[in-house]
Amino acid sequence: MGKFLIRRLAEMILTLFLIATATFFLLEAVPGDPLSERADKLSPTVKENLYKKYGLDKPMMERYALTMKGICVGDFGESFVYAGQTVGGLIHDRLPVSARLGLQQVTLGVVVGLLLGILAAVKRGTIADYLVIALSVLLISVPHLIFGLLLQKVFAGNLQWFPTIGWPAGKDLWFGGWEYTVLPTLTGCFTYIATYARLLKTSMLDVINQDYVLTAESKGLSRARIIRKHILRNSFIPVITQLPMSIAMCITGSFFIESIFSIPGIGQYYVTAVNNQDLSIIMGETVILAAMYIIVLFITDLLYVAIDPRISMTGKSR
Amino acid sequence: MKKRTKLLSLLMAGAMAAGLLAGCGGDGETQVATADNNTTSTAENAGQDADTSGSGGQQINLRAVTFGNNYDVQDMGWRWMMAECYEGLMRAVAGPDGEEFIYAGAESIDVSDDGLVYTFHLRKDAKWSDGEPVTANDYEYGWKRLLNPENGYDYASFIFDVAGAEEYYNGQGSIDDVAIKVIDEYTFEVTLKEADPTFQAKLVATPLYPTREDIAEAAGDNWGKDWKLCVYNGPYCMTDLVEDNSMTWTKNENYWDADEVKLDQINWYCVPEDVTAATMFDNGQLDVFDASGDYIAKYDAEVEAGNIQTLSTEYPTTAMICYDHQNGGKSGLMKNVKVRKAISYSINREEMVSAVYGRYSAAYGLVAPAITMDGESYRSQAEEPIKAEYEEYANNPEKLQALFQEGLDELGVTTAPSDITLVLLDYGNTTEDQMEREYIQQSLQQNLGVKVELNTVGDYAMFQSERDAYNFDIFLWSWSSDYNDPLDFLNIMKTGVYPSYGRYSNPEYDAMIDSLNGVQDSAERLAKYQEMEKLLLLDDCGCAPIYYGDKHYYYQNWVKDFNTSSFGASQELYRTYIEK
Amino acid sequence: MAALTPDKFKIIGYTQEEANRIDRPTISYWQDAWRRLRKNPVAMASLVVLGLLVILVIVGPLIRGYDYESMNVMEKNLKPSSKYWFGTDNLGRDLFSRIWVGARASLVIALVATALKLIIGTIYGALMAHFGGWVDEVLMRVIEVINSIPSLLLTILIMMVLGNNLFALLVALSVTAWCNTARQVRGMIKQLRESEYVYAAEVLGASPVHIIMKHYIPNMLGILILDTATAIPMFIFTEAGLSFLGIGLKAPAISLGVLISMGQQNMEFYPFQLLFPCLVLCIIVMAFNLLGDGLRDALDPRLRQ
Repeated sequence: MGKFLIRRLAEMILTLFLIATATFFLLEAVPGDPLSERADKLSPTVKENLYKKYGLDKPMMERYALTMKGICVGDFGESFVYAGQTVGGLIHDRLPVSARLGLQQVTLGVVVGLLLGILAAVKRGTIADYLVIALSVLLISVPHLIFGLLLQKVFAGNLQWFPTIGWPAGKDLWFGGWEYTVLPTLTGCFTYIATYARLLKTSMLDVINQDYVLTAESKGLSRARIIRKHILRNSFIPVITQLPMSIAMCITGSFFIESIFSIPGIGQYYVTAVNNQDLSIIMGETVILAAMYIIVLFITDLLYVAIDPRISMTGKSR
Repeated sequence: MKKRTKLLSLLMAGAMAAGLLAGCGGDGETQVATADNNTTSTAENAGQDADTSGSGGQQINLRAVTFGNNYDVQDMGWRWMMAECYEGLMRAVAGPDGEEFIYAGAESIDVSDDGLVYTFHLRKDAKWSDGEPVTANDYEYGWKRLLNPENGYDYASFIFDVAGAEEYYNGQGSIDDVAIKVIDEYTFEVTLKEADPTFQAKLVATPLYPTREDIAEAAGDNWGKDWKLCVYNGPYCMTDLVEDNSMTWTKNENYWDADEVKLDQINWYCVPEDVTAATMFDNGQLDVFDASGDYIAKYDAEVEAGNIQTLSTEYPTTAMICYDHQNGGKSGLMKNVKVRKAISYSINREEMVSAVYGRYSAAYGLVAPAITMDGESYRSQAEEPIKAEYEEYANNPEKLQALFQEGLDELGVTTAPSDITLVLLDYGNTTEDQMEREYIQQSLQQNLGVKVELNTVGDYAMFQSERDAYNFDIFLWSWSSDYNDPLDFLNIMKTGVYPSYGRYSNPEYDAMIDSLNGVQDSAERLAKYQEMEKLLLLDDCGCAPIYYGDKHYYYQNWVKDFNTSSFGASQELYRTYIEK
Repeated sequence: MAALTPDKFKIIGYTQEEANRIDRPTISYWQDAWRRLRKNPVAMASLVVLGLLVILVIVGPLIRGYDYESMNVMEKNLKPSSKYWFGTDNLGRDLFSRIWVGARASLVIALVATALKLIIGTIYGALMAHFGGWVDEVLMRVIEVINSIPSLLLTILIMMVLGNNLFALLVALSVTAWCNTARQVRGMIKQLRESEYVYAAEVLGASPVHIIMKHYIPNMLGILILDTATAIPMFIFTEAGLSFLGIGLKAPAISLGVLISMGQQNMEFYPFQLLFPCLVLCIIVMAFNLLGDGLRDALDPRLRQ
């Protein structure tokens, strides 16, 4: 167990290092730099000073080394575009907003999705099954932006049930101002409903055909009990594999939603940073988001062990 | 690289093609928004204000399409914000009766009889938001800062009329030789090289606003980039900003005229989508809506019904097709005036403004009608130079093709028009951007029988690099004037002034601009301007004007004294108040 | 009880041939899959719909005889009518023709991106499974790195590096997508290599070619076909999303994504400009998804009866 943890930790650090490296060189390959537009009209000396200030005058490998050193001590530097803005401040201000939005979407989406998935699997081949499939396909084939705008138009515009834009802040940051979160959450949860309904249905159908289910049936166990005890527990493995992806995705994936509903989250800022070539911010955000993703992945591995008796921690399962 | 947001233009850019306006170095279109720290929600203000205005002071809710982050007055970064939060010698305010220029930071201005010496008497009660008085030194510092070659400000040329200024900027003179002289704490004197009637028109522009030396020097490189470092001398102070989300301005209690400023708080929300903004406006969550396209017809009907009010004005913007004068374009044909004219006249302006934009007016001259001379629109005094010739050719493909062919013959090009490909460079991804370029493409293809290839790039930076690499024949660009004089329009085509108008160069034209120096008589100037415009557009077809800009503001009935300004804040809130 | 003696038995004749005779016709894996697919009305309906779509995408723009590019401003923003079945856009162009041209581009992009994903993913996965050990470790790490970087960032950066063109679009679309295929192929091959029947085949002296043809490929094809069926709609959808970010196709080329994003900006006044492209996108995505579901059922050897 101890050995396993140490090995996993080393792997995680290596992966993070590789991610930072890949991001750095990818950003290097993008033509132009974050200062070129600003520097365009400056005199050569001022330009030189400006580049010096942000360390862009140094050769690439030296900057790479500096960036890596900064990451090690958690210092990503200051934004190139918004003076005074640091990655730390950004994460502090914006991550909670995106995290709440994302978690609400994933929670609602996964719960509804799983219920629909069970319904579709149990009532396989019936109208209910096809309705679930049709619904889930419909939900994923209409772009977020359009769903968001339609919901906004109808529920905030015509019916005036919810506010049009905005997001809770201050003391309501985590729990409160729910009316603001309803439409954005709904807009974003559709993807998850669709994904999880299909995922669970597929996986349940797989499990239903397994021998141990047949055994349970022949033992005369009740259908409800079989579904609960055998099918569900075993079908949850792909769901758990998918969850960390969803959680990682939900934080950056809400770009359109944050934009439509004027939510000061990290997703919108991230895309802006990419477009501004705000190197330090992109690097910082990428590394932090990737780290979160990797940690979630690690927790998933641990969960696997808890759920699937066939997997052991030594990784020597067969 | 700020313009890279254009890559996401659909989300970020709004009503107007921001790209078209990029040439003017920051126009009223970029607008921002935020929330008050104390409220629980970024939009709570918007939600509540409709019902509770009056209880928590006067508030107004406005919409921004995109954000900027340039708070440097000398750079004219965020003009619409600067005109509200800062103040210069004069303020431009436009109401339904037209633009008015009023004294603001100055109490009076004395001009010597020869028009060379300007003495500015500042008001003694003007204060910065930290309580310090606004003094002549602040103006001197600001102006010299503008000229400092180290800073490389675009707008330095604004005060090249000042004796010694151009030399200092070009590194040939010393800062001490610039004829800006502080006489006492509240008086300063400026001496011009030659009398220039446009000098006074420029006084409303933000580059000539005062700047606090102690604060700017302390801020160093972050001056103008970090709003927290700013001090304000205008009616409002910026008090909160969530980048790309929302912004709050509160009343500046230290403002000299604070008693007359009735709004306590201005809330800006960044709402990229028109649909969302319109919904909010319909629900009263927004007080003002800057409409374009089909919204204009929709809200005009509401105005008829008395539900809302409107303020529609001309705006000093002209959009034009620019040609590659340097190399003649990818096709090499742009050197010929007949080819350029054939392209220009192939575009049906009336149809284009109604089909593509649903607003604006067709342009057959360079100077927009919003520019006035002696209180009257320049366009009412000067005929549009290409209108008559355009009408001869308009909607007549045979004549247009004949003209195009003549051009080819003059160039000695034997290729058939159908084998000629012209490259149209463009960027931006709003429906309007897309329709605009497709309209031009289709017009040229249908009228001239040539092929038009679109070189559409992702964002402004790429556009710039494609333009500077001359990977185009034509592109659409625009100019928004910074001060009220036709010269500001005509000057863009002078050799070497801007790289972004196709590098037109005609010594005769340059000489005509130079010959205006020192001419004070407005009748004489008007005649010269007309002559120049004719030479540029009719004789040379240096560029092809397409439309003149305008603004369509719709606002709630409870909003009173809402104004606009062509040269200050597009949404001028100086005197605005709410009455429910 | 009488004892059984040999004389109570007689040889009624037997031949090698009779012993090996199979009474029922042999059904290959593929025949069986097809038979089961045919029995699935939903999957068959999807197949028919897809066939129709392909036909429409090819001939659709010609049906009404309007050019999808040429504008006619006099007839802009017309509602659907007998003249313009789906109405016209802001420049008076027939939406019906434009939608099929757009759908064509969307489909082609999706097909090419899917092919790229399958080829890269399969080769990569096979390499991982074949070499195992440290090669597997290294290659797996690469996948992990790609997966950990937010895909939107990767996509935008790649479009920035490679420029706004079709090639860049395809690379950007497939760059993250192949990881999943590679993982699946790796898992499948590893599982197959250790499975009893492949082991039995090896022991019985089957040639590697036989094993690959008879065991690896049928087992993997199921996964790959399913992968294809889900990847195509995913790519169509992602391309549409990129159009919203302004990094999709360049005008005058249009895709469904471009049409939807243009329609969206007019949704308040001309909802049909948004409705029709969305509808076609939904139908395509749904048809591929339902067909994929049907294929999965049909190709699953465990469901064979």
